[in-house]
Amino acid sequence: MPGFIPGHIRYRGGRWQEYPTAMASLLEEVRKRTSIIAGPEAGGGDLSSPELFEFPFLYLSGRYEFEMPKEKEIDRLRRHLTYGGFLLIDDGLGLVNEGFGRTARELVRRLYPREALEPLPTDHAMFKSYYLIRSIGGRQAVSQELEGIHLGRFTPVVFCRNDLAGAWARRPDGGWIEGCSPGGEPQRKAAFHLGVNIVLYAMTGNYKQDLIHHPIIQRRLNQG
Amino acid sequence: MIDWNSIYWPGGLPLWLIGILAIALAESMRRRIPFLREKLSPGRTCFLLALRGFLYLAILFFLSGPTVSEERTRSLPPRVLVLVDNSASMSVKDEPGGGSRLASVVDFLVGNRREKESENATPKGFLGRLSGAYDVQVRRFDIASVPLSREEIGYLEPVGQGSDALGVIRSAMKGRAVRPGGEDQAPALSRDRPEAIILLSDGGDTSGSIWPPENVDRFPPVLTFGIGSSRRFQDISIHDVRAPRLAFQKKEVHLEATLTVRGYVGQKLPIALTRDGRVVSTQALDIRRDPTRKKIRFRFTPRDVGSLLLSLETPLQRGEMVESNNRVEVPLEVRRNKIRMLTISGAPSWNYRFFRMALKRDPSIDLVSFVFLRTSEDDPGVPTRQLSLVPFPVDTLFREELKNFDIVVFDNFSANAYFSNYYLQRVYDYVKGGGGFLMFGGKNSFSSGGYVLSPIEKMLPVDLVRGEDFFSGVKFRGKLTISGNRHPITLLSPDPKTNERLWSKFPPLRQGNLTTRGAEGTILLSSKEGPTMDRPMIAVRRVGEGRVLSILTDDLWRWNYGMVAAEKTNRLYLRLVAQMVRWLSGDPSASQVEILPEAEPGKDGAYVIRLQVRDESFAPASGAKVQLSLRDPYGMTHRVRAVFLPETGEFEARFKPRGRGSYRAEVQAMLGERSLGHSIRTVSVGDAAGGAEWADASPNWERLRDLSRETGGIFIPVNLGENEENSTADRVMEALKGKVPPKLVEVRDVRLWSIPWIGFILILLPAVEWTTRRLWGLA
Repeated sequence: MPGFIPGHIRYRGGRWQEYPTAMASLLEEVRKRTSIIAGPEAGGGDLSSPELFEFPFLYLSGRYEFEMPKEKEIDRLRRHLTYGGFLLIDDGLGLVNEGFGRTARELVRRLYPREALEPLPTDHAMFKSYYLIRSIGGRQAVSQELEGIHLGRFTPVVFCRNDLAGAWARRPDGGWIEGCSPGGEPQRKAAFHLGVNIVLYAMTGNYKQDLIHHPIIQRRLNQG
Repeated sequence: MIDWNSIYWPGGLPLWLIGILAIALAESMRRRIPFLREKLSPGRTCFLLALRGFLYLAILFFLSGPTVSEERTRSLPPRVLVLVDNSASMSVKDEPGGGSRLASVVDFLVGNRREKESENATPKGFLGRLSGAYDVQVRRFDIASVPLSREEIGYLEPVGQGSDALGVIRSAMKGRAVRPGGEDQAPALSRDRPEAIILLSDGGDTSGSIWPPENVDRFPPVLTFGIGSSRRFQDISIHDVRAPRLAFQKKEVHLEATLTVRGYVGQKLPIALTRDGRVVSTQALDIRRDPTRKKIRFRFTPRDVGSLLLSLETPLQRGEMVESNNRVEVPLEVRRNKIRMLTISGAPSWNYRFFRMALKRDPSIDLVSFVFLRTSEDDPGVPTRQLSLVPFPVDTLFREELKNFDIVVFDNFSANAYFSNYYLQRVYDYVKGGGGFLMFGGKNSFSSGGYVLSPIEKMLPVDLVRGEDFFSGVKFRGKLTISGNRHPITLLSPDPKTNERLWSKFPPLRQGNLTTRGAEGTILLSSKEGPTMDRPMIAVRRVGEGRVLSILTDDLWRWNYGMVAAEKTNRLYLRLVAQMVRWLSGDPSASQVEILPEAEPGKDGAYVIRLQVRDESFAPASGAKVQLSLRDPYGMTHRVRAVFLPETGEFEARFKPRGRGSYRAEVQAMLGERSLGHSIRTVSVGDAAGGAEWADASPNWERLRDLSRETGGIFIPVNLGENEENSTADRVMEALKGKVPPKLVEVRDVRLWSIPWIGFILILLPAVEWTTRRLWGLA
């Protein structure tokens, strides 16, 4: 049985799955690069689905505005994240006040009215959970920052504006659906590295912040 | 004397009835008017009608039941309350070879005992003289007061564990004397408020009250007797100890106490801190003044976990009057500073993620984790320098560092791939020596992880199957075994039925390892359905001094998330993890051998220590061989026999204490050849408040003098010798004469109609009317 299957959130309105092959592509990368036995496809459903708690890792993506989930659904999602779950929000457009980004930010605001999405510091465990990440990849390069909601020492919500799914998605023949701009293939590679790191972070928490790892990681970061 | 202003209506005929009657009477008068007008002149008619109207009004008024208060004054013998201090400090003998302070008070009150023997007559003593002129009530007091009969006074013992004279006087004035936690000792004293109080005390006070009190104007005159002799009093007292009850291993603790010395000016006094009778450190104190009051401070770093008995003590000096306050015991419970845990995970997993989350909630857990993020078959696609992976320090961990951990966890980790049996043997030795070991299931664990015939297999509570034992895709739930319903790991509620109900709430798991129960293991939870039915899910075993826990699945995270989905909380999962850690780390609360905290006094003066001795399934180990030793406050060790009681499932040991104080109990239990463990605890005998009574046993006459002065009483500084008793009694009688006013009592209710002259008027009115009518020619 696979040890990792993400849950792709289906929402009303908009298009919840812009690139149907994107997640499978990331999961293949996770299987190939790490010891995680990842499933072949993402699972999931809408936020009222009884299976929501089968998937500690949730993925929310799209380009267009979508219908705001009902209060009960938001409550369930908040509970999911409060008790150890993780949500990756992948904005295919990267605009703050328009499209998917606007609704997704409103959803985060309703989830955590007292918290604000803040840029992740460069020494965040997510940037060293597997690869030592120095740039934020994606189909586009709107931002070199990830934003997140921090609850205690964990960051259960991460927001990326660079359209990771656009960089991960493959055609049936194995080729890439989208080109990555402006960085080309290195930018795509960075998107995969970031995807792997996000999965590792969700499954190990701040493990790489433990003191025992710190000196070696710091030495490698210093070496560039 | 009647107070006419106090008229009130406690009850008469109902108003409605009076109203009807009034209407009827008015109507009868109205009907009489034509007849009277016809027979008499208008003036005479008015006169007769006025008489009749006044009579009717009077009848109606008295039917309503008017009542007044009448106060009568009577002289009674004034009430005098005699308070006798029987706190522990009254046991001090101020004269070498003399009687105690309390003994001299008793002699004074009920008469000299020698006189009683020689004259063969009932002696009267001071109380006898006092009773002739006053209504005397006698009460003994320490922190509360209790009435005493004359007969009981002779048997009074100085055993009170504290003194609160002011509190007792206040209670007497309010009319209540309540012992803390006890019942009302003397209800309705308010009506018997004493007109004067005679207080016989050494002036000791453990309540912290201010003398004289602020509301002293409400006190009656208090005549105080200063008992004891402050000039001759010599004593060294260690008191007011400040020390933590709980300490952590290898963390320094500070102990502070106050030393009060009376006498011994010019001497150098040694003070020692001892641990279980052995001196840890000493200090010397120069005594330059009398009295001397100084703070003494010690530092102590506990090295071992467990129950310690520290004491601060100074040797008994020549002529010292109180011995027991030269030593103060300080029981200290020493716990581990941190629980150090090493977890090794074969791969990132939700099991690891949620287990780590639960562990990280507890600040006392120091967690060192290694997660194998990639295997040799995984290609990261970049040079190592671009990865955050650190080498696994197998040699350092298993050869040098293992001893520094309390718990080691193998989480779906196949050791075969990384190191040899040599290191696994180190893990086995570590457990035998007292470590805790937890193995989670998974594809890389138990048989599927290659642990068959390894040193790890030797210590598991389950028997491994040969070949693959990992399965997935089958939903199965767990059911508690009998052992599971009482084991500290799986006991989520102390009530067995509630515990079973809580366990039934956990959602089903979907993968695990198929094993069977090991010969020496105890199954706490087994699968209750499907093809895995009755297979172990959680099992434990004691190995040497250590503990092994096997959880035959790596799907435990579903118990966190499933419960969040169903119950909106993950508290049961968190509690389960916390209890696993406690048991694995050898926490005393999860020990099989436990000495229950309080020793209970029996009727025969013997104390009972209760012990819980349990086998590995946490069932009472009735056949266990239990060795209990007690070290008394004087450093002597005694063997005490412990007997199993089937009705309670506990062992009981009875002992007669040699005195008040802390006894260090140590128990070792064996079941056959196997050790069930041992436990140490300090048990207290006697009331700790006695320490306050002995903090300063010197007489404090200043307090008594101030109290008498402020209340208008007199202070009599006496050491009640034979010759002084009569003159002292004379002085008291003389002082009471002028102080005590006659007593006014009795206020009663009087119905107006029952007052004779009012009744006479009521009879007079109809008589006058009748006579007048006859004179004026009416029938």
